[in-house]
Amino acid sequence: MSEAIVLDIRNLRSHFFTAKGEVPAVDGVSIQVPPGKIIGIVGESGCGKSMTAMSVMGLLRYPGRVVGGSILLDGRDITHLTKKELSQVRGNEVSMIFQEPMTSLNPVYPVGKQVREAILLHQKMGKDEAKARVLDIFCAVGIPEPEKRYYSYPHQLSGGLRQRVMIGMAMVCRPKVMIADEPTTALDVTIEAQILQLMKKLCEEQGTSIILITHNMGVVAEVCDYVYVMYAGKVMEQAETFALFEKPSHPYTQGLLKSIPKLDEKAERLYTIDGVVPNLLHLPKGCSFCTRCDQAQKRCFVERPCLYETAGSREAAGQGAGCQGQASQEVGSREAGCLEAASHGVRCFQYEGGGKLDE
Amino acid sequence: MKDERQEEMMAAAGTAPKPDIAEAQLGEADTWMDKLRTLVRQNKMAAASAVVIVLMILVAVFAPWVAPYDHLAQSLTDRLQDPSAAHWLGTDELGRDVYSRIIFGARISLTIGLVPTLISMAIGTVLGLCAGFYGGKTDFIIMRLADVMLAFPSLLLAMVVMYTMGGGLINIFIALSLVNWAGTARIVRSHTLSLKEKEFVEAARSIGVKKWTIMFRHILPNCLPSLIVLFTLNIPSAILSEASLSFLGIGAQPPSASWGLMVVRGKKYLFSEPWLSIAPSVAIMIVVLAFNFLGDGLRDVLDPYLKEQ
Amino acid sequence: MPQNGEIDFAAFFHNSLPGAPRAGKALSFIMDGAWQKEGEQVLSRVLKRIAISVPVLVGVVLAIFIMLRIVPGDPVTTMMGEHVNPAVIEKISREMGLDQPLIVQFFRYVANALRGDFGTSYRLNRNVTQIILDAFPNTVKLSLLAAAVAWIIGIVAGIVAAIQQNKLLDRLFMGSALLGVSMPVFMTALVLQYVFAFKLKWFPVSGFDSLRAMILPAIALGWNSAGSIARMTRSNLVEVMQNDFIRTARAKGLREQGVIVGHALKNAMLPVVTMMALQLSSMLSGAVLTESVFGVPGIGRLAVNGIETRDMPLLQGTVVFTTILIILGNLVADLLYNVLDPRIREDG
Repeated sequence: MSEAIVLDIRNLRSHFFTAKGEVPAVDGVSIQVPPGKIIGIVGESGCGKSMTAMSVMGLLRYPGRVVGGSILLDGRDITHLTKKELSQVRGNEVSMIFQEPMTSLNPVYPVGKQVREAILLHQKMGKDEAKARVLDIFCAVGIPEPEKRYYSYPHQLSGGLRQRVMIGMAMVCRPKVMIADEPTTALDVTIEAQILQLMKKLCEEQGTSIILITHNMGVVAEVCDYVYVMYAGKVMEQAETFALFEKPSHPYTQGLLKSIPKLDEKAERLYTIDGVVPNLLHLPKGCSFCTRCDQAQKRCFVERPCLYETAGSREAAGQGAGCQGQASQEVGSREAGCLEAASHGVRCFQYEGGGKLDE
Repeated sequence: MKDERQEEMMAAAGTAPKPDIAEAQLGEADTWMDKLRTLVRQNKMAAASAVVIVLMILVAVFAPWVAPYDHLAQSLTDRLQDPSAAHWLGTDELGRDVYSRIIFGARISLTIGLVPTLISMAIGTVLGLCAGFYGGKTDFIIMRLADVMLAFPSLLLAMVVMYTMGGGLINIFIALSLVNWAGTARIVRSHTLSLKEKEFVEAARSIGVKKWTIMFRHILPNCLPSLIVLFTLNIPSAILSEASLSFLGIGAQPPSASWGLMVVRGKKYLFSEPWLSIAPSVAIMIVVLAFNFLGDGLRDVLDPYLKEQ
Repeated sequence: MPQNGEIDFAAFFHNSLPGAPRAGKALSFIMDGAWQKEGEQVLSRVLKRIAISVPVLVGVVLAIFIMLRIVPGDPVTTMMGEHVNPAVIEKISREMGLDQPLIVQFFRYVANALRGDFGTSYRLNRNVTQIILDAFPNTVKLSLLAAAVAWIIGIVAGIVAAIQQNKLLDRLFMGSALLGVSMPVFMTALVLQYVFAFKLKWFPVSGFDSLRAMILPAIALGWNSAGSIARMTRSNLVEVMQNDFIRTARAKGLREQGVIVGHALKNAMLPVVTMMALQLSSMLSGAVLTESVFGVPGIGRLAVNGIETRDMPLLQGTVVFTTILIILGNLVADLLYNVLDPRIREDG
């Protein structure tokens, strides 16, 4: 199966070691990324989305640390690489773009040089050749007048252009996986659509997989192939995008989708999920969502649910039994029988009938 | 929103890991006691320095009881003695006990550190408030005056004032009070400019509170954290200025026990009785170091954005 | 032409990123006109900044002039002593123009100063300008050496401390830096003199006639600045390392040294460069204490002499001269910052 999965995050646990105790920011997350697909990770602020991404990049800073699990990139575990090996992976095989295009570029160097630096770090290429490559990628990401922009400083570019530069920088070494951490949150809505389309296009053309981290369900619906819904450091629900929107199964996902305002429905007031993300130091004993869940049972407060496969997913997946419970799913035009990604899994006792996907 | 990692940590730990600037300036988030506690916990050196400073002040106040000898009593038979049980730091060229003189010298240094600094900062604060609040011509005149003051090397300026008024401790007092207001004025002005736009000032203005009341009741208290840090960091520079002026012979005059004067008089005997000049130098260094440590610590806690100039 | 100067900066600038282009590339960029525009903006800012400095300079000279003239007592009497014939005093006063109204004296002084004439010393009976020009080379030598000491020690210690943040080396360096900042200059000077000149006999005790003799004064003077440079370098680096673009650099695959040297250092050093320029100008304006301990015949000594012997023209000339240096230093520091930081260079 490892041929079919580029990036396989298995039971990843990353903790913060603070004065007040150990904080499980990422608590047993498993994510499979097939080649050339866009994987969405959604959730509220502080649910561990970014921490998962930072763990993959090896960018967790003190006091954060990966404490368990593995991250397999093409079958190679990258959690135990030396600093040198890790730096060869970063920006080359896995790259990342960040939420704030304003502050993510170094203000004192021209943007072209900053992109070129990524090439020179990872590929044996002359400086002129590298510059030509930068100009190519600038064209590819839709930066007008690339020759002139090459020498522009970040403050001379608009937010959208800067994010295009960031994407160019992330794509210039043709990575296997690109992680985009809220890439459009800081941008105008019109620019957001352009950037998302650009990412989708590059993903298809270059065969790069994208992990898109967002809190915006609309963005997910627009570009993602698969979705992982995270809450308090855990994956609450995972499904093919269409299936998730068709049949949201976890109460949290249902809440998230219900809280999107719809134009065609008249509602008295917007739906909200009561309460806030719990303090990770003092999680409820049972399901971490129990205190905010409108369907919670007594049991939810004392026992922790596993990730269960939904009944429908198993039927649809059919032949998926062979690969450790990771049933594949065929929907629409997707190639039949390809072991692509996760089955529809839900971390809720309501789906206990299905097989366990973890623990 | 800037850094989700931090947000996550904050959510997790329940508190902000670093004091927020708005909170630090408005002084609402933490009480003073909280901040003191943070200071003691985070910065042991600063806490230790505070203890040293308090001890120094006590020693200076009770100098006649603490010092084993009279700091002015000469004894020509005991001239230039090595340190011994009777004279811990030896005696100077007139047979005076160096240890006792250093204890009495603390009175001079601490007074010079505290009083002129307080006066010059009061001047700077009022001028800075006026400049920032009134703006326009007032601002222009005050700030150009400050530019002129800051253009002088501070020691040189003090020297010129001393030339005009003649030597002596009282004149050092006056010189240092007049010379060092410009830096404070600049910082208070910039605070005032930003505070002036805040809602609570607008509100006070809209209900017709008098200008001076707004300046001193509403704006000044919000400058206090910066002013306290600045005060702590200005003290050592005033102490150093006095020591330097006295060292150059244009400050305190004999037989004063000013540390700077002791150093320059001991300098003649540097190669035979080094402690005569080194001991008072070390005393200066300890006081200055203590205030610098304390100021650094206070800055981190009270006003993390007031950067070292 | 100032424009030429800036082209060099541009070349320096574009070559400073790891893996920089050949100079030709940078030049082609300068030729294409974008730089031309920036050059004009820089030029106009330079002129504006100089224009602001002029009134400050006039104010400073006026302030010195007034301060030195509110001295109680007649200057000539002070100079010659109490028991001189009043007629003689009057004659000398007239010769020196001291009988004129203060405002006339001031303009006469400024006019002369503009021609490079700071008047005649009371005591030394020589032209003050000449005295200053004789002393200045010594101060320049001392300052440059001291600045070299301060910059090298300060920057290296600051960077090492930032990299080793909160580890032993950091504490050690920052402790010594604070010690350096807190030690009175004369103490450093005396300790150095005692240990290295008297006990170890490596260097002469005083004098300033050979490079060997200059080393101790340079260290004494530079030690203090080294401390503040180290502290500032460290705190700026630590602060810059929190920035998002540092994360980007790491994500790009740069290793930690590459991140610090290639991305953080330049941002962090911008304010430090300004401070270094300011420090150099204040050293040039006379290391009064260091010169006094080591007997260096420099500018600082002149000021002290002027006060000790109540030689008003000498003191006045020295103070005006050094203050001009300081103002020029501030100007250069400001412009340096403008030229080095692309954000300010563009919009300001």
